[in-house]
Amino acid sequence: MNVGLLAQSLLAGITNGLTYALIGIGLAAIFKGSRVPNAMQGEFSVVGAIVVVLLLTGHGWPYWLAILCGGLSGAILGAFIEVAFIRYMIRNAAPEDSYLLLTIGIGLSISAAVLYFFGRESHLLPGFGSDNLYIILDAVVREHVIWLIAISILLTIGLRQFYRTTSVGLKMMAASIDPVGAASIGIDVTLMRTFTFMLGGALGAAAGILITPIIPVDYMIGLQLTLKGFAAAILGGLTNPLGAAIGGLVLGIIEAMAIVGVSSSYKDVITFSLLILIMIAMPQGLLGRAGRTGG
Amino acid sequence: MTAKKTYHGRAPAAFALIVAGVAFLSTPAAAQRSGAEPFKIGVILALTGAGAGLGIPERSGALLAEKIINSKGGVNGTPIQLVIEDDGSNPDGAISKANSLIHREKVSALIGSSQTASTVAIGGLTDPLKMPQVALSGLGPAIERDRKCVLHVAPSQALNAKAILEYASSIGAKKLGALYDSGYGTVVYNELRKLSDAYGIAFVATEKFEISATDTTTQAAKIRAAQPDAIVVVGVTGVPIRSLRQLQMKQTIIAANGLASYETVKSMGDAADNVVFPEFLVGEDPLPHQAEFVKLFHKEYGRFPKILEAVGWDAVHVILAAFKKADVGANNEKVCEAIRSTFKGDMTDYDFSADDLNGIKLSNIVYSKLVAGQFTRLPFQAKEK
Amino acid sequence: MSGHTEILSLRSVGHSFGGFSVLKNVNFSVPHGSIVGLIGPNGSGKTTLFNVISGYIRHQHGLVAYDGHNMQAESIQARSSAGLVRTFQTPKVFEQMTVLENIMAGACKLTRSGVIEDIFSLPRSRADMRRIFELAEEACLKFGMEKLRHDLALRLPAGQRRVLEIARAVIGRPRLLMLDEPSSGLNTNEIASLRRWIEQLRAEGIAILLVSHDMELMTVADCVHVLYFGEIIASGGMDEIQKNTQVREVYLGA
Repeated sequence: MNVGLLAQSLLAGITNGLTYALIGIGLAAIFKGSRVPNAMQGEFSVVGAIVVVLLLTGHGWPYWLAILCGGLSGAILGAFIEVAFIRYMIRNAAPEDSYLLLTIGIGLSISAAVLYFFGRESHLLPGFGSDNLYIILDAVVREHVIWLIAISILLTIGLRQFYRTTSVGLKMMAASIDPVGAASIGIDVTLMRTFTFMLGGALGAAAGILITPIIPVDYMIGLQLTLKGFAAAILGGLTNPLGAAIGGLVLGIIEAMAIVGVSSSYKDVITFSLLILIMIAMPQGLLGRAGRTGG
Repeated sequence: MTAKKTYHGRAPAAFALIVAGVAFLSTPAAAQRSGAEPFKIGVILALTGAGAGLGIPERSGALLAEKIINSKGGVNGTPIQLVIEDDGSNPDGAISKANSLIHREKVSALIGSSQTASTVAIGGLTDPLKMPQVALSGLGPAIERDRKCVLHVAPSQALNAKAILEYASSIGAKKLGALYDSGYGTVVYNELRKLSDAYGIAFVATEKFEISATDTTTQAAKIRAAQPDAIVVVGVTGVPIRSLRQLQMKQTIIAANGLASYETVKSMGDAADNVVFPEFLVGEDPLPHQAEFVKLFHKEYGRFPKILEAVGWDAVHVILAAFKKADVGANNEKVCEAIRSTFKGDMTDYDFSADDLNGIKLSNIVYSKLVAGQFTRLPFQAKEK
Repeated sequence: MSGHTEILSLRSVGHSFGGFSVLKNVNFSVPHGSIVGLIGPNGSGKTTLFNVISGYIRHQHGLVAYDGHNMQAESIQARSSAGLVRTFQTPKVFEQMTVLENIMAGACKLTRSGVIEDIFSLPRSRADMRRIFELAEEACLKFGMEKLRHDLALRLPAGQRRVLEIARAVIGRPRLLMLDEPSSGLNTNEIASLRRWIEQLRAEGIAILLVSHDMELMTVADCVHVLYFGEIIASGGMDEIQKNTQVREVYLGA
């Protein structure tokens, strides 16, 4: 094993890890704000990416405008799901497990709808910036990957700031921690929950848009993304977007190291064994108590 | 009181009327069958699920065959009718559809399925009846060799492996890298391993990935480090090819024909260049005997066919040829006898009397090369040893 | 409607749960800037009354008027935004947030900037947050929590939680503060501090509706109503109440 191979593998691990992290961040944001485990988070990514593909290649819109609309479409879809389904279930005191079933059902429906309206083809988006390739320590890096890393960091930091230093963020956190108490101090709990889903939807769409220059999007990929995102979020403590980001990175790097250090045949066995060990040793997630209490 | 009585009186009459109406509508009108009974062929394909990428193009080839054949008067003056069912990419689905086709629809022959597991499952029903079955999957487990009426219009993985090694040898590659998926990739890789010594070729780096993996960069990096002369890729998505090219690997990629479709080419993006396929049909530059089929397909669907559409088309014609020889009303044994002979298909030439129940030869392989996203036909031909 | 001298007015309020009348024909009011007490044995409907007034329950009969307006159609959050704030028998705080953040959450209702301004960090949003932050820091000082302000609320002992809950409720400038058993779980010193805070709040013009088992604490009220199984059986100053024979029989256990 030489430095070049190690560097390339590490880079591949970071790139994949960030894709998991981006999905995990949206999942954590929704769980943090509403206690709903969102099994359709990956579909936000699919919808967001497909909207950009449509506007960009179908209608020739400028890339930045298409991306904006893609992000918005995620937010709108999130709001719709909260208003049409979640609100009703909460009002009728639905049991906790039913939300997971609901989001699974919605995910399958969206996947089928994408298949019906857009077919089974997969689509790639152009990378951000130029098509330049950079060589770092004998590893090949696309310019888009650098953008991916930078934007992921910005999103994670931005989300923390949002919760801690804006009144909407504070209210959203409060509404999810204790809806009864939050209402008693004048917080519109229902509206905060809708915002949470809009935020999660926009984050999911952003993830899809950032990922699609690397991984082609099609109607099937939503579930796969969701599963990896869940692993990332759980590693990070489930209510902590920062934890999800770190969890995703850890997951991606472990995968890459398993392939390069041992064998590609045993990648999954090694990765999941290590994950199980981590969860046993640190049941509160990688960030420990701080992870569970909100990031 | 009176109103109640009237109500009760009306309900049974209305109910009877509805039942009668439903019964009337569900009996097929005798008038529809005023001509000859159509010649029914059952078709079971993977139209949904993981194998849909195979079944859907196969169906378009088969449907075109039905249309063209009927426009020419059908078989011995009788129109043919394909009864198409979806096995959902799983063998249990295949069995239930096969039963329905054989016993309820009373089809004369079966085409199916797209994947090996389903084909073997259906074979369990057709073999005891000696009903002719044309499979669109390559030859599978040993039991298939005993089923003399289950024929395959797709090449075996052993043939695919040989074709790959033939080309590698012809470009002087002595060290090969292999990037293959955990599905049919593993089967082909095992065949490659068995045959590589005879060609004096060594595999210096072999890496596996999941069928639906979204990234194989790390595996590709390991292959790059071993500096092979060429790389063999076996999978069903463009992901491995993209990963290799993104690492700036310039070697020729020899890919199994499962990747030779326009859909996969699209998902390869810029990487669709300098990739060679041992396959059968290059729509842009067809062999003389394929030109007619390519033209008809392009007219009907507005695009070029490739292997999957061609096997669907050929499968229907194979059955027809057998029934023409043995006559439409013949019993299964006679048809099975008739079908086990040579057949010049549009995809390739077959010899169904061969041991491997397809008789496709190495010399039938057409090599194509992707140049900037377009398929071009290579002049190279593998010679039968 | 004699709305103007009273911040809260209940007329013939009644409510039943499954055929059982929990509140029957409750009439009383809270004048602006006064402290009104509510006592009664367990199960007499005090918490239900609180839930009705604050909006957690939609009452079936009668009228609840806040500042002259019928509250029947108003949500909990709307009532709170209008200045009607309550606390709970077991103090409710946002456990995974710090003391300072808890209090800041209580001040959010004072701001006007919207979601879009928050997302893009526009000037008005930032100014609002500064103000909220300053108010919360002041409140921490005022309630003696400045050393604890960066601690997570879940680490606080019961007494401090109660203080935090009140601080969080008060920072939003309520006009009527409803305290449900505020002294439960507090030691003597803490109860004395609580009494001082209640008096100070009244001095600042906030009306208070106080429910408590603590008769000593109840002497801070201007007027006390005795709720006995859904009905008010006596009203007046604490010494009057304590001399009332009916009250002594059924409640004070004379």
